Amino acid sequence: MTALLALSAPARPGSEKIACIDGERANRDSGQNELQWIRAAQSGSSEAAEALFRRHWRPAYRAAYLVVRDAHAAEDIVQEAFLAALRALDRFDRRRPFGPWLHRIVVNRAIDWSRARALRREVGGSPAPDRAGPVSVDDRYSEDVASALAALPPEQRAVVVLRYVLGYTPGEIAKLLDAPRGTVNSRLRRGLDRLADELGEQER
Amino acid sequence: MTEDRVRELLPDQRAPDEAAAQERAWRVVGAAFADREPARRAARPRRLVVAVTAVLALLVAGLTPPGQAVADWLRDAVRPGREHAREALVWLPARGRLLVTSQRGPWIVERDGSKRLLGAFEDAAWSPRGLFVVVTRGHEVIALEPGGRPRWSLARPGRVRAARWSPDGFRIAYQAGDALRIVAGDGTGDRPLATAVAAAPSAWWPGPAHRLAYADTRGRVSMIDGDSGRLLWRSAPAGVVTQLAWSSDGGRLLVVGPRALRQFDASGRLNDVLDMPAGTRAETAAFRPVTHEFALVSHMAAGDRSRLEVVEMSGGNVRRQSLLAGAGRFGGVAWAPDGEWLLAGWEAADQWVFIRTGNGERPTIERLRAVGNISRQFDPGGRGTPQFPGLGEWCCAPVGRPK
Repeated sequence: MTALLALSAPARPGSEKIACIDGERANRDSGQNELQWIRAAQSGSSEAAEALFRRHWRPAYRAAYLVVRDAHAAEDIVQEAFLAALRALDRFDRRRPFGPWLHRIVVNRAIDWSRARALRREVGGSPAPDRAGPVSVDDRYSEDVASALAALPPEQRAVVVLRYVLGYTPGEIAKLLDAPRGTVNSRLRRGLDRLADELGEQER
Repeated sequence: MTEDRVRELLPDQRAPDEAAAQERAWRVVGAAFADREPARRAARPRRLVVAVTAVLALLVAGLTPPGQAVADWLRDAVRPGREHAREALVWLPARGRLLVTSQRGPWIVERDGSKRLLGAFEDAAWSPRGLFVVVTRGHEVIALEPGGRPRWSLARPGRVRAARWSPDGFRIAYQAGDALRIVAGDGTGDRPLATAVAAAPSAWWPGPAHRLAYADTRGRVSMIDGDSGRLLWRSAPAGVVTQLAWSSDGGRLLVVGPRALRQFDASGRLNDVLDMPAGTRAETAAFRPVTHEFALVSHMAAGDRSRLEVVEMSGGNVRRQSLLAGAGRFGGVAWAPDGEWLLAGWEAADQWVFIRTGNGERPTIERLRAVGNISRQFDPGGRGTPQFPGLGEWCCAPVGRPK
């Protein structure tokens, strides 16, 4: 479980402490690895860029998917976010963690996409779950939770995902989204209430 | 709902197809990273807090032959295999409508991926603003509304083909047998312009006058005034011509032949020549809207491989950037009107590959989407093996000067 935590939630200075010594060590180690990867990627190492990509792809893709509820769009958003991040890697301050930098791009793009989609009402625009290929047992996700999350406005969805999927504190979310902390807290509260309503209805 | 309950539920949420999506994305991201131009960081004293120094960007994979070879090899890694292609064409990634020519006739593909078969015609071209389509069939040239309703038709002796609308919409040039003819946009005033023309469709100059470039069977390229028939200039003969294309500002005319590409200016001066290496054949090219770059598809007989690259020729300098290489033959290429997305057919894989290229000095792959099962999608319900469809214009590219 701790190893999973370390993989899915990259180390971030100032982030919430994981109440597990092994988890802390894993995060510290992975943070050092990440620093080495960033340094090497800045020098042009494709292997290091790939290591960064593989560490961060899955959480970013899940987060984007939970915000936009469209697998193709989520894939595009995260792919573009990585392209943007790697393009700007030379300017990246190595003292900062890579994850929040990437997640900021991903989540803001996902919010923009969701807003635009709501306005466009594209053909086939209902946010149906989208499976691009065969889904293994491991790839199954809870339809109930995803559907409940989809009922939230994009901004609430984003803060819930940032808080409970990517593990950021409300203060960090406020910085990522350039939003007041009070706004983040109220979105979180409303999001949780709405999730409870949605899931409660489905359970009845 | 408590936070604990949400923490319990949400981290287990997975997105569909995570592993395959990750591999697809890495192909694009990895190729883009390999292709970037990393900056060299100035050595920074560790113990001193100093002002940020200037960073000098250096080209690592330049256009030297070894650098190009490395870049080519990396591009090969991008090729989207069948297993990564989407199964159905459900959208076009950029605005506009696409003409596609299949064995059943031309289709119009809308932005949302819906398709309409225009009928049993042989080829098709848009009117300048996409309000009409001109098609040919046997001895006939026919103007259609995009819904398929004919506006007028005209029959001539000889096989009619390669109809092209002038940029202002008032003229249509077409070929009947080996003659080049012109007719007004409303179907009146049909008359011959030239004889002994090559099979390559003529190309209207994208300027205010009705000037038309065409190739003849001797490999000469001529520019004529479409209204008077007056010859404005004519090139020296130079082998087979398969395609003529103007840049959107009318400043460059690209003449494609299997062995070489020639680039003229509007006054007929030959400015640039790109010879194909031995065993490599230039197949098709398309100018990127509002630039002087063009996408070029070539095929190498040895190994039966194709390559897609973006080329710019200017004053004897040639800048080439490979985008894709793959086994077998690619089909046509079409730029989206926004000039950002490039569509390439890949016949051997039965795929269309949509590539979003950057706007920088060196076009790179920013995003790549492959759609498979293309032949069957343009031959629904057909029996037997469907043919891979040809790409027409992605309507409608703006006319103008390079940015």
